[in-house]
Amino acid sequence: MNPPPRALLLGSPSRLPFNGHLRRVLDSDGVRVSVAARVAAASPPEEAWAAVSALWSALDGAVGRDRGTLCRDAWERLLRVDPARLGPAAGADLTLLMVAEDAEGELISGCGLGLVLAVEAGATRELVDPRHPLLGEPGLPSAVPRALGPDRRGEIYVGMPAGLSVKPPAPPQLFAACGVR
Amino acid sequence: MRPGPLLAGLSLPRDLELLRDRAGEASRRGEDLAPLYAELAETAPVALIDLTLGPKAMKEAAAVRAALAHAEALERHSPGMAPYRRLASLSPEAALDVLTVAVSRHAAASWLITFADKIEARPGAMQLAANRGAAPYAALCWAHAAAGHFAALVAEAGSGQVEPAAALLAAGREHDAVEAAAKAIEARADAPVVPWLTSVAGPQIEDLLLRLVPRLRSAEAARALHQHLTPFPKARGVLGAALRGMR
Repeated sequence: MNPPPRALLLGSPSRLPFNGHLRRVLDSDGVRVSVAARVAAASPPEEAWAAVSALWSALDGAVGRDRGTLCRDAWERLLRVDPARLGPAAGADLTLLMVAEDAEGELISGCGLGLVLAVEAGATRELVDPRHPLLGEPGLPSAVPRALGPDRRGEIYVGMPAGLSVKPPAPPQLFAACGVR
Repeated sequence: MRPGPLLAGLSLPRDLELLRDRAGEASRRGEDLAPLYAELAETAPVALIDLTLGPKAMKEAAAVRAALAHAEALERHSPGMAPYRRLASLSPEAALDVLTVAVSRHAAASWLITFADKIEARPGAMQLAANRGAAPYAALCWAHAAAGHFAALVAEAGSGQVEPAAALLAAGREHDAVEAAAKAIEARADAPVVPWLTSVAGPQIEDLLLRLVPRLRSAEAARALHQHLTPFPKARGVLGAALRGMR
């Protein structure tokens, strides 16, 4: 059985709420990285899917001996993607939440996030305050972003793309709003 | 120009009642009312409205069909759905012709969604087909799904469009969505089924894809779908095995 995703992104309140959404979990010898992303969401689904596929392929083979090296490797692979493959905005509309974990702890990083919720035992809390550097404008960063090592481990982290104005529901509806079936 | 036989000796609107009697008798004899309606559209549009939409309008199917030739004039008197609803109510036998004209003149009108309900065997089918490739097509698929026109959407998917499957999925009709997706990809191998279904339901649709794979009949459709299944290893494996059997 696949491990549950640790990183989720909220869908948008539209006819195609998950257009351009990617979710991927990679395991590397007990070290795991979960990625949830949204790219080219304003494009037709075919174009958005092509951009998603580019991100998916970029993550192929990501490895690391611990959460730090796996997180860095995954980001470095993403940063090498040809922006032209990321839709009409060339990746400038990318939102991405990455959770890397090993037996010792976890690292949270991302781009384009307006809010990150940590879900623990069915309750949610805001992981960081609104001025925290984990949050920011969308777009593929120019360098590997700094990662946050939270004090407490969350079960699942839910990101809300910057600019998306919705009130996240409480679990379990929260997961449905992220496209968890 | 001399008036036609049914208008001979009449002065309208004074003799409207007499005209209605003559037209009624002619219609019951099976005479074509088209020439009369054409003349009235030119010379006495109020009389045309009275005969076609009024409280004592002609109820014969042929009369209703003749009236449809003057849809533009009828709409000037009574805009939107009203003239069509009236004509369809006059003759259920001609209702499908009424809907056909309404769709041809107002392909994207939202009122067609409810109007089709009591007329088409598969309500919505005509409007969906008329809007294939047009800008409002996706929105109409969603609207027809919300109206419960599931059979029309499944049938429409047979044209190779993928929006019907997506709309059915959005409406919570997973079984119909899978059937529609299979029809779409069988009709058009490059139908972007995976992009649209994930856009509606999220990236976690492997269960739907596993239900879709056994419905594929052609190797071309299977190969096309296979290209989109990289993020879905189980479905990719099952379809890969099926493809080997298809070769």
